[in-house]
Amino acid sequence: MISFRATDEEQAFIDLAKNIAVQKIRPLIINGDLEAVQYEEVIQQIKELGLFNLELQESWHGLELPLVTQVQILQSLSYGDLDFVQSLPDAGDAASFIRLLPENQPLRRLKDQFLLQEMNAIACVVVEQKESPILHVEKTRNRLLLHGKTPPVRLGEACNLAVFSIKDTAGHHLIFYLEIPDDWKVPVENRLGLVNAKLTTFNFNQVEIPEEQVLARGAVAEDIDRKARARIHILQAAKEVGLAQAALDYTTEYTATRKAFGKVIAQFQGVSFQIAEMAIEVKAAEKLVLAAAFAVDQNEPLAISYARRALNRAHRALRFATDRAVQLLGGHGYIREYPVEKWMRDAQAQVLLYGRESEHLHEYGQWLVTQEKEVASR
Amino acid sequence: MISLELSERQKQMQEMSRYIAEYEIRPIALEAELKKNVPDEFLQRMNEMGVHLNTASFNKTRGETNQSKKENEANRLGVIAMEELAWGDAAIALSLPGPGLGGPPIMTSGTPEQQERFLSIFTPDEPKWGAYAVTEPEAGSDVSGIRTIAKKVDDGYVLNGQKIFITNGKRASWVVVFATVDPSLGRAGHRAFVVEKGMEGFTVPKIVDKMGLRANETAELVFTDCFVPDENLLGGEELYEIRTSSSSGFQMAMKTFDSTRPIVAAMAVGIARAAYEYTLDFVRKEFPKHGRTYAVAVDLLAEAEQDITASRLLTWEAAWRADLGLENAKEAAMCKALAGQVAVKVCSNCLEILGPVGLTGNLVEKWFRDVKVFDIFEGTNEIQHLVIARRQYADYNLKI
Repeated sequence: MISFRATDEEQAFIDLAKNIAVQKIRPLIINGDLEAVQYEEVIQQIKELGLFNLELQESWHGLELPLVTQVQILQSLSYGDLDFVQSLPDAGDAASFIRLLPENQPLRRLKDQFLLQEMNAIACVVVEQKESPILHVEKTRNRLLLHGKTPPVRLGEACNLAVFSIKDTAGHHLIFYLEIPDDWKVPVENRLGLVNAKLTTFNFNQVEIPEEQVLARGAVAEDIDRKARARIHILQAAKEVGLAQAALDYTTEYTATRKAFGKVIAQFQGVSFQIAEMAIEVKAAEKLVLAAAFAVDQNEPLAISYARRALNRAHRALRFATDRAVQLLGGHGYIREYPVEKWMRDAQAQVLLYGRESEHLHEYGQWLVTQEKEVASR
Repeated sequence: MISLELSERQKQMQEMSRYIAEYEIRPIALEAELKKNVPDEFLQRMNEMGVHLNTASFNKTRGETNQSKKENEANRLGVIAMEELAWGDAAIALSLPGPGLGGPPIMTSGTPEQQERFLSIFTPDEPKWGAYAVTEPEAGSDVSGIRTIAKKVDDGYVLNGQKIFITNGKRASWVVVFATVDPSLGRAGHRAFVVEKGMEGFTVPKIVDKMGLRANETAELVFTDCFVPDENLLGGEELYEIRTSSSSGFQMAMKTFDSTRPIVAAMAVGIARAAYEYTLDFVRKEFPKHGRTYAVAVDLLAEAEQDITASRLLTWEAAWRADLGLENAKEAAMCKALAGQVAVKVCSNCLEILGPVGLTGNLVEKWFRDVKVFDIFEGTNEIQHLVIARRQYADYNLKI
């Protein structure tokens, strides 16, 4: 039965996350930066409240929630600030791989290392075959060697572990993990946005991948890669919707109080209609994210493509909403005393980090056109 | 619990509507367009099968559903069915027998006696129609500006005025007509009457020619000293006495939109889906799978499918809220605004992909002409934006 009502448990999570977003996270944004003094304190509070690692299994001290539940919580949390949420030192995008990987000895080793420390980030490096020839895995005399440089990786600076999903030069898919010493890390000179998300590139010079750290390979790895990326797309899209909603609400409040020509500017349709347009865009993205999450939870075969569609739409909504927010705040939108310029920068950085909007659209279109029969779209 | 899975009943409705759309409606769509008429025999058959233009009404029991009762899903069933039927052909779907847009105000505001009298006429024996008349030559988007006058006389009212763009207005057995007892009262002066076919002073002088939806009848109605008895005042005098401080007639018109806008949005989704599927098939079969034109087509089709799905989900949410009796004016406006805009864009982009083929009298060019009105009727896109903006600023006590 079609229904859009959250369960009581979900609603409790959503309310909690929204409360933290508004009461704890949002006040951290001072002059376009997250206030460092209280930053760690808020992270600790969020961890204590159980909002870390929603995706990880319970045996990994995670909550192992369905995606439909996770997207609602993450949307609410990111309403405070996307940059902050992206900086949370948890299993990050690697969590989706961990959730899908078969239980084996290498995975148990990774778990032991992860659980060893209280605050421990895992970075995640997903390399699409067609791009980034600057990172290779080569098999030489039964040794797997990693060579080259990764694109900027979220949580890279904070992590000491990273999960990789990549094809070797012979075309075999591998998922493995490595311990990442600091001297492999090259800080990114990032002034665009998500400056707290600890973006870092890794440099590898013929690094041997220990056999006991290979988590999956071949067809199994390829299948996990597809499914994990879909989950990552959806979770990231949900965070983007949260920030887009924040931009909408912040701008609504500003335009409802700012006066010009003798009345509040919301009373000019040139302003209020843009607010309506933002509201529609945010709602459309939110629904496509929910649909993708629902499809994954139901193991629908088309879910992977729906995930790409959701991320494409979330990218679009986020860029649009944050741009309009800066525009409608006028000069105030451009200065760092207001959060919207930060959000606009964060939005753009987020889109670069998780795949171009145009790229996702085109990939989705290719998939649609090459299906043998009609896709019953949902 | 959030779910996008159709219930058994919803699946059955979708399958039945899809079957009728594909095998009964689509095959006669072009001919009906050319003849500007839907065959009587077809309408008779649809009526016997119980396929009606039957827009659901807003659930009057607001909030939680009673666990002991079956959950009301009439609005969801309505939007699911209308997407499919409009996929077949929107002009024919709009011509189907039934109370149409006149149904919701009778269901929500009519007395039990009126509901029985006006809604019981829809039987399998003979196709009958209802209609809904608000728009006037000088009052379109601004419903509060209607000038059709209702003067109180003994035992009833005398109506004078004109209504335009009335779907099925000529064939309708009755029309819900909005009029004012005193223009100076503004919205508080509005009343809704059920004017029956054959009442003296009620004429239908004109069926208008349109850009699209040519098989569907769009009528002009004229009321010249048309006497309407008290028993045809929708809701009775009590309805207006109880709420004299407010504007119950106007609000009835507005509340109707909360049920009908999702239906209109669903139809827009159905047309857009038809154009998208036709064009997708064309690209699969006819396009070389490389080059710039192909790449552009791929992107446009991806955007179309995404827009269609987003519009459908917003429509479902608005209908779901109506079924549960939850406030849905904002959601109804949102789905209508998005679906109307998207459907026009999708049909236009499909023609862009088809190129000169689109000029050869095929269905996509028809859908392109049909669909534009879905961004206009039941409130223009601009009115939807106004409704959304008002709700968006509701917490700030602003008059937008």
